[in-house]
Amino acid sequence: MWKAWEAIFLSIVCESLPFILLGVLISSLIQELVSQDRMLRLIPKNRAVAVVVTALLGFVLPVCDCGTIPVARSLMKKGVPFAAAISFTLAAPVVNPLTMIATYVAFGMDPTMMWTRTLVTLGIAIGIGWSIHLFAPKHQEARLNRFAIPLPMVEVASTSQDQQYTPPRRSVFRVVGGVVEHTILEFFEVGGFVVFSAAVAALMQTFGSASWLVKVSTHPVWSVVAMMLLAILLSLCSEADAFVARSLAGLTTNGGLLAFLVVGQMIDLRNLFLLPRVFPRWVVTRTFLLVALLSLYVGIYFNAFL
Amino acid sequence: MKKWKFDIGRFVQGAILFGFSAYLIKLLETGEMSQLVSPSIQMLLKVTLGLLILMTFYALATIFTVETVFVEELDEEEHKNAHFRNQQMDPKHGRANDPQNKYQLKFTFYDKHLNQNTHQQAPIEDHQHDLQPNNQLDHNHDNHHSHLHDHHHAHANNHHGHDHDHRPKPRKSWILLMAPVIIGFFIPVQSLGASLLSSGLQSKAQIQQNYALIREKQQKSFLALQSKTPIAQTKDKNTLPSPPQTQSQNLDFVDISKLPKMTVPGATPPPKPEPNTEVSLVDLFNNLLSTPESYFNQSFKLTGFVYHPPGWPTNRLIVMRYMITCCLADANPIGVTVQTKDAAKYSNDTWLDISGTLSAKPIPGGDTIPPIGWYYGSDEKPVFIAQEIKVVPSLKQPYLYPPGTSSSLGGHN
Repeated sequence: MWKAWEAIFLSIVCESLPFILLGVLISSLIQELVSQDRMLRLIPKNRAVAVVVTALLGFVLPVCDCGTIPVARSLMKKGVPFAAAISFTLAAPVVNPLTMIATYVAFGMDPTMMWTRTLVTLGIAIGIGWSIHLFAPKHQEARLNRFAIPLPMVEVASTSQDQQYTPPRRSVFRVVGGVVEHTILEFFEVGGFVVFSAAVAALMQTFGSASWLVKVSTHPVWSVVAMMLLAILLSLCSEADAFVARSLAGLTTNGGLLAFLVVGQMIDLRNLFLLPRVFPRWVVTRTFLLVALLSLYVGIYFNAFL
Repeated sequence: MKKWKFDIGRFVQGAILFGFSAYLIKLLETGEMSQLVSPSIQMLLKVTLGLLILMTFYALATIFTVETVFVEELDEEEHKNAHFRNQQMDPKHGRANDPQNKYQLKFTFYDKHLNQNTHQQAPIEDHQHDLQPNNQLDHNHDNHHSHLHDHHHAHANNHHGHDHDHRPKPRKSWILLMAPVIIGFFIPVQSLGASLLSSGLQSKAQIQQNYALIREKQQKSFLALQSKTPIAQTKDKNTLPSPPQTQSQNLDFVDISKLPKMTVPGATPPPKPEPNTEVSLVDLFNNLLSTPESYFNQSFKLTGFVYHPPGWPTNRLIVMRYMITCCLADANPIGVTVQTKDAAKYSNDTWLDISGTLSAKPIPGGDTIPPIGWYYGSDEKPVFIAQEIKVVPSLKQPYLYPPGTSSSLGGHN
């Protein structure tokens, strides 16, 4: 069985490697090439609107859930508020064309599940963003998490708005060097956690048993809870989880399936390790609680009324 | 005054990056990669490899850093901080005129606000510089290079307190990053076999109860997974005839009209396979419900490995393969029941080439056996009546990939 564990572990690592690197690369590019002023001009001033806009960024920035967190961090470093960064982190893995196509294909070319999943995820992400925007402890809002990883911030401008800074003109060579430097730094920050969560997920796959899932397979509430736990423990990639959900269709209720697809990209082992390193603790706690409660509610609602 | 300094953290990073690059090259060269991830991910990994090699070179090129110490004009506190590692930042390279100065100064200013323990003298000085007009600012820096010292001073005094401006010291979490490379190099990978079905999350074999109930619920459901058009009605489980039955040609013929058929409106039906050619299990998985007439009562070949579900009769086995979308974490077992006198002769994980005819027979509890559970909605399950069985070596590319996804762009089989 350890052979199977090894194969699954290495497979998850290899599979997430391109997406992590893509994530840290996009993050480094933002860090190096987009000035804070430009970023603040791109993101709407009104934070409630900004939350919605960043939740839809997945259509522009193609990041899988392995890559969202470095990108979210570089967005925050450029002055994007927590609320908007968190709604990006939560929504981008699901609300993007690749995942939507995968879900559509996995559920037998039936768009119902694709739309339900996308809209529910979008709703939860925006809801959490708004809740963090509206009910933030006042003294917390401006401060970056003190556990946040220090990054070279050559371009960070002062908070004063009275002067306009144009980004310095630098040679292409130096820009590339800066991007590679950031990419290496972030890769080493994130990589260890991704490897660790891959090891745990592979353990689950190899030695975990699905019998507990079966015991509650028809219960309208417990089946949802069980599927949510499963989604967290499996930590699947957003392009693949729809296919796994499809194969589990016989083992659970439809609400359970939906909760599996919604929770899996918002809370999983990777996010459990990485989110607290980037966002302040109160944001992380509130996010996880709200995600769990809202998807549980949606799952039960579907079982009860549809 | 210049000093070469060996950056141990960067050296370890370079070594790990080199390890990853070497491992990826090995996987791609030996073709072992197809035992791990789907073709589309393999394409992505080739691009990734290019980036990794670039990062490796960059890391190795920056292991040795130049430390420049300005003796003049600096007080004692600043001596130990006023160094920098990046050769690019050497003042001799004409960096003093770089307009980026301004940003470095801004940074210092920003940092002062962040950190209570910031050394007071320099930031205030920076602030003053900052308010000066540009020309004079640059002029000042040309004179005594203080922008370089300022920049690094700020870094060195930040709340993390280590000397390195942004190069971290080796961390424990980096050991984790080495783990996959070491494991991958020293322990050869085996493709997933049937053993995963008897433990692990794929093991749905314990499921014995309530299946009819679930199915009924599903048919009503909004998902309507299997029912674009209503399919075979659920029969009472008690009336199932007891398998296995002695085989004869007449009994093997299936009345296709009694089998579930679901048509997808607007979809073009898949082409009918040529008789006696190889049919991929994934095609069967995808098309059997929409075009049963193309497969049932037809002769073709199947390839896969053997799985004996616990408690099965000696004349039946399952020939199966795993279908993967991205990686092995989403491996999905797909198989077909094979009926042959010699079933017991082939042990689990033996790869077989089987020619035969597809029939349909009742398999009690078939929905709960993972590899054949995909054909649900009917008590009659596809059963492949084997005419000829050949043992073959395991395939170089043991997995199947779902069509219609980006994963299938790399082609399967």
